[in-house]
Amino acid sequence: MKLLRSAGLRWCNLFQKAQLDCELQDELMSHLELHIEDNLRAGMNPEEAPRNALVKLGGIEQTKESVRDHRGAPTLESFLRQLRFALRLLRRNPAFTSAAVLTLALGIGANTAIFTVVYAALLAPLPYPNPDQVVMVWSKINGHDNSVSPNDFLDWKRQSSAFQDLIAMSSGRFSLSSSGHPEVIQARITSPGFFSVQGIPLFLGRDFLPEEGTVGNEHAQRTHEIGLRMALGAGQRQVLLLVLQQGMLLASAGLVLGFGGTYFVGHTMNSILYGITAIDPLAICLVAVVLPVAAFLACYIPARRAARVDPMVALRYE
Amino acid sequence: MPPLIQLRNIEKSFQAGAQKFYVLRRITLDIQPGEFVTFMGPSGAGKSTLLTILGMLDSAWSGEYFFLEQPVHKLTTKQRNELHKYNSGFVFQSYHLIDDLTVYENLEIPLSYKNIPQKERASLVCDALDRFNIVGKKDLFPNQLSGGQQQLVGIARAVIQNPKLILADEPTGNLHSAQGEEVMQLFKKLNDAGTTIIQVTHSEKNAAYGNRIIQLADGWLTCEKSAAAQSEPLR
Repeated sequence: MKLLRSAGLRWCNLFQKAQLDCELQDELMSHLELHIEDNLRAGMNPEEAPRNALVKLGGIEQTKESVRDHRGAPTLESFLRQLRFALRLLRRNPAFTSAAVLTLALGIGANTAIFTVVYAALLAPLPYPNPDQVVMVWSKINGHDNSVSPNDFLDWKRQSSAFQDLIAMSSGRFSLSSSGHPEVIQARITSPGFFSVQGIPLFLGRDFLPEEGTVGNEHAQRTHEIGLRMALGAGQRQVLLLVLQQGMLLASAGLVLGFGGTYFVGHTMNSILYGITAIDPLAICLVAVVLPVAAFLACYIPARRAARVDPMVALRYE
Repeated sequence: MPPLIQLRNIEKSFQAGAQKFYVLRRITLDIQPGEFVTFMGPSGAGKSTLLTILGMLDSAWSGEYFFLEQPVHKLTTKQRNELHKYNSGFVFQSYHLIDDLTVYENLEIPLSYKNIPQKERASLVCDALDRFNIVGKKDLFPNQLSGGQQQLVGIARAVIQNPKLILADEPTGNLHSAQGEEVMQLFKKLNDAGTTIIQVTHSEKNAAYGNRIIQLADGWLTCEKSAAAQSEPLR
């Protein structure tokens, strides 16, 4: 009951800040005057008395801030402030924002449209048996993920009883010659069994959507700014919110444009499809649920990393 | 009145191979509210490091540190952040402004992390712009300012929240002499109003604005003198 009353009071106080500030100012000034009078009565000279009173009171502004902290809803206000800041930051970088939003929109729109058509045309999703049983394994050096040496891999493969099978892989560039026109391609070197373990047919499928690997990574370039903000008083929660909000704003804008694109492409494709529809409500609903969650997770992990930045390290290695 | 800052045997070191390299050694020091303290000494003496510890920006040290009678060495990161946010302002040697924000917005940052209403934030920022004669620069970005102007913004940002403690690392290092003098006068005025100031400087002239000068060398406190008295070696 006490908590409820306190929450109600804080909520009401949000709407009468000006009046409360006036009252607080009057009260503090009266306290200060009393302190000064006390000091004068105690024999202090008129120059020293106000200074001593200010020091004793702990500063007018500091006391005001401390009172404000206990009467309002700082978290809500801070959230709104961060949201406004994120919007302004995106607005200030129109080229980056447009590029990111358009990329997301095109990615989401194209993927949703293609997925809908593929799903409808083939009547079945891509086969991917037991995806929850496939994991990546790394070695650790000083707490950081590191590549596995071939001999370690062979030892793991021989000794491990936790996994059904272990497959090694590394990426590289290769020349592919066909009809006398060689071209450089990106490929992976894997140990035998790569495709069978994952169960992915060679002619279909993909690894990740483009946005799964990019959104939220801006924090890496902003380590200095985040460190500085922390040095100026930002808490871990505020940094987390800042990075999350920027990522989610981009994802939301991408989703909205993506759905518009899906509708447009679907509508156009309907005229060339026979017997199936290009707009599948189920797929659209799934995308509407899954993508925001994926975007949130994709932003949350780098946001948490950003919130752990050591201000001194960030400022020192600017 | 209890001291604002109490340091007891503060030490900071780095491990360089098999050797331990000490940056600060057994620093024991009391600073009273309202003091204007200057740390001086040769480069590498540990002045800036000590300042970042006092500003609670660095937590990798040993010893005991009491700020307003609160044991900083025992506080969690969040508690330290709260204590530092509400009580201290930092002036950095290399400005550290955010490039994507205007001068006005850079000044607003520390206020935005406190629960200060928008109107009051605006009035505090306008007051600071006015006080530092940078009203005309408020819509410019840091890269459109000279080094001296950027430092002025950095100082204004630390001063804007009227903290109990201002920590300044070579605050006038990049300013011309007239600007430097103005800044020091401002620090003096703030100090007269009850704000404790701790600065690191190589300038004897700037040190003379304070009432206490502490010399450091190789991480040790070597001697201390007041503006009026001769230097005396520390025990």
